[in-house]
Amino acid sequence: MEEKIMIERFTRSQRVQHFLLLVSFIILIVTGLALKFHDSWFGKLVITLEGGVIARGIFHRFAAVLLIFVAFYHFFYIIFTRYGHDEFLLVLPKFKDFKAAFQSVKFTLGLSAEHAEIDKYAPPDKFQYWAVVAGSFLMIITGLVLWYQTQAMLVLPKWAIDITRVVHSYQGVIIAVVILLWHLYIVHLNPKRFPMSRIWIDGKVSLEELKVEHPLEYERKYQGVADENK
Amino acid sequence: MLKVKIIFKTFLFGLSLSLLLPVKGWGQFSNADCLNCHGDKTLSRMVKGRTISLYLDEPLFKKSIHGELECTNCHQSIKELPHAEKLASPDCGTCHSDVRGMVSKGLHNLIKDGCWACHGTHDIKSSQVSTSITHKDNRTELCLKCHKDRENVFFTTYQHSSVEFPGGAKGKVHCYQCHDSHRASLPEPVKVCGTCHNKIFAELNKSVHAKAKLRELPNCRNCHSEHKVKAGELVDKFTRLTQEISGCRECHSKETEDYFQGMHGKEFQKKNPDVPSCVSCHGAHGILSEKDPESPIFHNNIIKLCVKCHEDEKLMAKYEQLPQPVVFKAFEKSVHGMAVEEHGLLVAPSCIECHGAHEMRPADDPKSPVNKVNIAHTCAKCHPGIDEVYQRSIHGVTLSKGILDSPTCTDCHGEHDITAVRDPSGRVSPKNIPKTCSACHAEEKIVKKYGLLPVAYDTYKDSFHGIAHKFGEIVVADCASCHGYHDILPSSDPRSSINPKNIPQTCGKCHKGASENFAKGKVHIEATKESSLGVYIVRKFYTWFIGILAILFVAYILLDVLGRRRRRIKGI
Repeated sequence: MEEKIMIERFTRSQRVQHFLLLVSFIILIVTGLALKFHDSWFGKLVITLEGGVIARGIFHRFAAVLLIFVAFYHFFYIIFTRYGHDEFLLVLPKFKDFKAAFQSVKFTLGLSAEHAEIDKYAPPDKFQYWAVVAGSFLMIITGLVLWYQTQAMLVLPKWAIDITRVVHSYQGVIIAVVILLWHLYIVHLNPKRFPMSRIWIDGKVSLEELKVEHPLEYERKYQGVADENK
Repeated sequence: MLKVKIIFKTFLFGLSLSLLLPVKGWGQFSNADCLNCHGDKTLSRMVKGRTISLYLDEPLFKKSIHGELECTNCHQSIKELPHAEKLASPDCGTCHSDVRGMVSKGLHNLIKDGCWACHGTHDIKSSQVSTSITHKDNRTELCLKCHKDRENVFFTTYQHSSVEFPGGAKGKVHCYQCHDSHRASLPEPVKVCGTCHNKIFAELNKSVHAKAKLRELPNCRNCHSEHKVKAGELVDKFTRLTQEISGCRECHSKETEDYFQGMHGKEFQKKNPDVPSCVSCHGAHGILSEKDPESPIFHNNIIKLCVKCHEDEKLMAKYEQLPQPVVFKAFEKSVHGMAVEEHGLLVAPSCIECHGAHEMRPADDPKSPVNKVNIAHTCAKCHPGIDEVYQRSIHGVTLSKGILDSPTCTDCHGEHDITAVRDPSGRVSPKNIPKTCSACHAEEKIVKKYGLLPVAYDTYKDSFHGIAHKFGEIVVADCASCHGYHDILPSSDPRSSINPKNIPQTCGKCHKGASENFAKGKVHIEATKESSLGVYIVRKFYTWFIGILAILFVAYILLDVLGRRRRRIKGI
């Protein structure tokens, strides 16, 4: 059997960032939703397992600090490292993304036999990235307001805090929905990769797969590699 | 032979006479002289139309204790024969001076017939002889000759007509044992009764009555009707209560009147035998001062006293409208009950401090100290400072205006089962405060009737404070932390802890450095247009946003799955 050529799609630094983000998100979502749905069996179970609401708050804030750390790490990563900066440029939304998205839909519906022209990051990938960036930013800001509410209220009136609380609470739900319903499906749960892709651990995809899913990137970077192997 | 016998007998008689005569006044006249006339059975005389026999039955006289005396020893006024028709009565006191002295001091001194009304005249027998009318076993019958009206009660209903004496002997108590034969006095009851009832006598001597040195102490007769006296257990219960109450009433009229104003007294007037009388609480003979720790009405013994009846399951089952034993048991476990019974505090209330003692009125009586409008004043007897604060609060003010839905002390603290604030099971412990307040503030009827904030409890439960509280954090704010407890006032009142001006200070109790911004916005946030528009809009936006996102994601997944399936079948 011909051995598959594996390509490292994500570097170790990216995988570490992803892992830290993943850990902080899981803790934040579980403890956050437990508070939001405190009357449900889920809320009661989680809060009891954590050892009460005070302990829940400590877990939540611990994960928040981790998230803030990852956010800063990532910020410096895309500004000060060459590779990080290139990657950032790749993930920036462009007009042709709309065209690609449209083509993907057509392909999925069977209206067109051609794959969309996709570089390293497909429109859903970009959407998720920017959703995480925006969502995290909003959550960090509102979270800090709630964390230091007495200080925040030196500036903000009580009603603003109340709105902040609602925003924080619903934004958390949005992030949970994006991750559970979309991100997990795309990367792990879809029929092709079910039950799990190992990419988040080793960062590798097969060249074959990459060629199908990211034709532009394949042309740009791996055409030569494939030819050599032939 | 017969002749010889007669001569001999005559001789002996003469001899005996000759022996006697010198002693009894020789040269005067002898009993034989008297019998010359009085030996005649027909001898009589008329007194006020009645025929009085003057016959003396000589053999009977001879057998009497005085049989050897001369007639003139008693009938001293006879100096010669024949004697005058009217004679002075004999004076027994000539010989029995001691007895006469006793009689003259007694009631029987008034009796004209003197000694012989009881003892008889010529046929007097020693009281030692069992056939004698004055023998101790016969003496009561003797008394009844004149005191006939007493007969029925004495021998039919008297406990004293059949008594078991110490040692087991049975018999009856005779008149003389109380009244004294010769003095025939009205007895000093306590002393006389005490000769037999020495245990009760000892109790009486220790009682507050004995110690009080009153001029006239209550005596046995006050309560135990003298001749009808019966052992308590033989009297039917209600009669007994009546006797007990009327006995005390003679001196303690005010207390008795109070008693009749109360529940117990009212029931008594309905002839209910289950109610307590004076004796039930105070004791009977050995009544002690309330200051005496041995007394059943000593402060620390009162609970025990009341629960004798009120924890009696059988008795209380008859009175469903009364608080049942479980309530009293709860009181014994309450902060007050424990203070009295466990810690022996004299300042802690037992039953009577709240309910009153003699005048124990039911709670629905407006004069009752435990009537809703009076409760705060009753509690204020011990907690005066708190009452003052409460009276100024919205609850105190509205209650005083006659709004009976307003809570008084017991509505929050409980009645009998009051606990300390630090007791986690208590109604006013931080853990249970929201539940206690919401009993009214989340009760639709009351909320509507008085225009209270309808969502106060629900919004609290959904706040950070409420959630933390629900999960057992008691340091977190509960209702009282912000609203106060005894001093609760509506936010419109400038003195209120939740008046906007005071909110920074109130929040600042926990949120150190709370600014004026704490007052800018609602605390009980309800996500409606009218209440909190900002929160409402944001929530609406997010609800739609999340809903649409979720639908899009699900649609994406469905399309993707179907697309892959279609391509696989086609083999692309």
